[in-house]
Amino acid sequence: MVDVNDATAVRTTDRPARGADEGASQGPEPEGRGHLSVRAHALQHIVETVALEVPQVRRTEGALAGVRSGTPRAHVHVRGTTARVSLDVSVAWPAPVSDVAAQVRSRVLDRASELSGVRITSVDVTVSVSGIDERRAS
Amino acid sequence: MSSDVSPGVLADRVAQAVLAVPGVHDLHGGVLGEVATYLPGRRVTGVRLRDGDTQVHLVLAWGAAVSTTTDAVRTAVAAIVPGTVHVAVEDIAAPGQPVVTP
Repeated sequence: MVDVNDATAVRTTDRPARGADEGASQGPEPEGRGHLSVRAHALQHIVETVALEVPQVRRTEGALAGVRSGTPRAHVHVRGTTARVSLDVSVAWPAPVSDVAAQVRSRVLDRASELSGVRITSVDVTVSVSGIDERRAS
Repeated sequence: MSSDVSPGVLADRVAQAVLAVPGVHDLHGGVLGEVATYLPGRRVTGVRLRDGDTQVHLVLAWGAAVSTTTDAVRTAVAAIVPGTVHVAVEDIAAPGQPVVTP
């Protein structure tokens, strides 16, 4: 047995991946194959990087260490083999906020689920507008 | 664990085989760095050999699907040590981070 005592790790003996190979497992029985565990930390990194792939999403650096964190910043709540995600992203002004949020959400649901093999049941996106308005900066 | 090969050699072989799998970025010692095979004078981080089972803790490269990569790791390790192989994905490397070569 894997000695993973972190309650936030996803542990599974059967592959949770959704895909073409579903039900086509060959080799030993799931019990004999061993455990697969995916740390919440790994899932968090996948989600954050996937969010950055949406064109208008910007990376921002945190300030005042621990007080304000940089974005994109994901919080992952793992229950069994599924996860809920809440995600803070920043966009540059001006941007269609609801459109970006929808894109981020669908991208995380598709791509992060596919990459991590963890079923993501819900994604909450919070968008903040970052950066300086260029008219004021001049 | 095979009795004719020393644990150190075995752990090195497992580590090399795991790092050679496409999509594996590095081995990982766990949150406290405690996952390792302890040998006289050195240790093999991320690989823990025990009777009947093997633990591998790793960092995946960005873009590698967890399920296919861990399956490949499992196959690679099973060719070296008998018994079950437990795989733990500890982290994902950022895109563009250079791949470590064994």
